[in-house]
Amino acid sequence: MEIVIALLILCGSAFAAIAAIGTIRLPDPLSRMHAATKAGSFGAALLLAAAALLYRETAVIIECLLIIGLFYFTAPIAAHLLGKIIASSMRQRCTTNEAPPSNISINQ
Amino acid sequence: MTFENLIPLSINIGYIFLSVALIASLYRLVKGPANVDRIIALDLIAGLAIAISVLLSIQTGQSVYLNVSLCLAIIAFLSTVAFAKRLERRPQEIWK
Repeated sequence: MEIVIALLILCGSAFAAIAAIGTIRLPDPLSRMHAATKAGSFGAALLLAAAALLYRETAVIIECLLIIGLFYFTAPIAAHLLGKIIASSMRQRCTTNEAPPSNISINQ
Repeated sequence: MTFENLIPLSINIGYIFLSVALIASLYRLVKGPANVDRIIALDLIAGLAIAISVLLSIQTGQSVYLNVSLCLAIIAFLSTVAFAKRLERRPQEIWK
């Protein structure tokens, strides 16, 4: 059981680190949001699973499941709101033939 | 071979990973070319704070720290929605 808990802790924190590295490395806001939302919430869910396996009490397990459920219900809603405003502003810039935003460049 | 040192070792390695992730997302928060990037970085920082409080709960054996992460999850969602609504009303601030 210790091996499983240690593996869950390592994988969870590695997923969180991968999310942050993706936030640095990816070129535009939509792909940065893709990295931060999915990998970040999966890392936190793995850490909460490790905590639930470690304590093994009913109240703590229910609380961990509650936090995981809250994360997986609210992260897509927030990402959908942000993606909606990014996509609508990009579409407006395309239809009005405006120049692309100069501060959005590839590989910065 | 005993495995009693395995969990503290992995907790320390996890702290190192999470610190690297915090520094990386702080870089994106400061530099981020658009305001949307800053909101994304703030959301990620809130998730990392939740992960750090869960690690603290595992390390100290106090399950009270899980309440902190529950409150942080709610507050992070509400703040992200509030920032998104503000940017939706002022579209000229999105790419600044």
